[in-house]
Amino acid sequence: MNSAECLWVYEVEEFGPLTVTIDSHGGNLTAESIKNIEANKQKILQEL
Amino acid sequence: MMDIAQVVEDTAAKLLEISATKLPSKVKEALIQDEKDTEGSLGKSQLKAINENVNLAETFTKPMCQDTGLVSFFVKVGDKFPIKSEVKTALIKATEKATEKVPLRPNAVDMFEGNTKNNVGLRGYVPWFYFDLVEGDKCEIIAMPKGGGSSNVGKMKMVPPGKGIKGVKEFVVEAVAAAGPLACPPYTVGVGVGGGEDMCMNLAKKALLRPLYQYHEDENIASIEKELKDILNKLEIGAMGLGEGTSVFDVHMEFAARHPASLPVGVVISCWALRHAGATIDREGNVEFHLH
Repeated sequence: MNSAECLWVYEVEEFGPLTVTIDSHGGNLTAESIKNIEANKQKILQEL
Repeated sequence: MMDIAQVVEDTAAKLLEISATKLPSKVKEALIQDEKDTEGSLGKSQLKAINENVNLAETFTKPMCQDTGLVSFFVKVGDKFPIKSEVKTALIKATEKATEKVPLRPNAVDMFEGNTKNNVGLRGYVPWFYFDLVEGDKCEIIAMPKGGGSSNVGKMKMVPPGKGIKGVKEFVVEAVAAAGPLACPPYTVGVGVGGGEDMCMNLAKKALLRPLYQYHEDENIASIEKELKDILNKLEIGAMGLGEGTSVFDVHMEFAARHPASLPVGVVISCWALRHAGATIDREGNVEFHLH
């Protein structure tokens, strides 16, 4: 981890809905996206 | 007689403010259209947040992103424009001024002395200038602050010349795929081909200044730009990398002659916040801001 650029403490009302990209069950949308992009890249390069 | 150096300084400071707070209209329209066209709620919600943010930034004249970028200026100085090297001094002063006034985040970090706190480097290279000498009596200034996140995914490759244009296309696909979700898509991609290892990157960055959906005047190059745009969208990167919505708004390419033994290719990627603003100053000090 890099050091944080800044940290804020928020008091919020009606916060969300939010998109959870990394959850505590091992789900990781960024990792899934990277996997999908990589697979698409291989296909594109073959067809180029 | 008007103080031309002061006019340059004030104009450049204003350009830094405009570029940090207001997107070029074509980029703004592309993001709004993308929100309309994106069906998945994941992508749509990202674009909605981006568009709300863009509107707030414009309304309150505050930066649209906390990263107000590393400052660079593209400058064309006319032969008969009253000042020359003083333009450079004025642009440095403008950077300091805008840092305080807009405000811009202090983004100029010296390797040994730390953050300079005013966006001006200690060793004379930042802000970075692209100077061009032109005919006439005017001075054109374009401010382009570029965020660190999307600069981190820029790439350069000396492609084996035997691979030709196919090698160029392959490398662009590889570079944008490697950027993937990391650099705040939807992206605009600048590609520079030819020159040397440094020139291709300069050209790639310069290519980002061309308005969205305005293709190269050479039809062959224009068709490669359009082909690459379609291909890159098949990567399915999507808004903020979540796979839904447009991945790449546009691809702009510039070609320079190359050494027979070299085929340098530079890829410079802009995040959704493709920021720049320009103005032209005449010898009397009249300022005309470019359509934004």
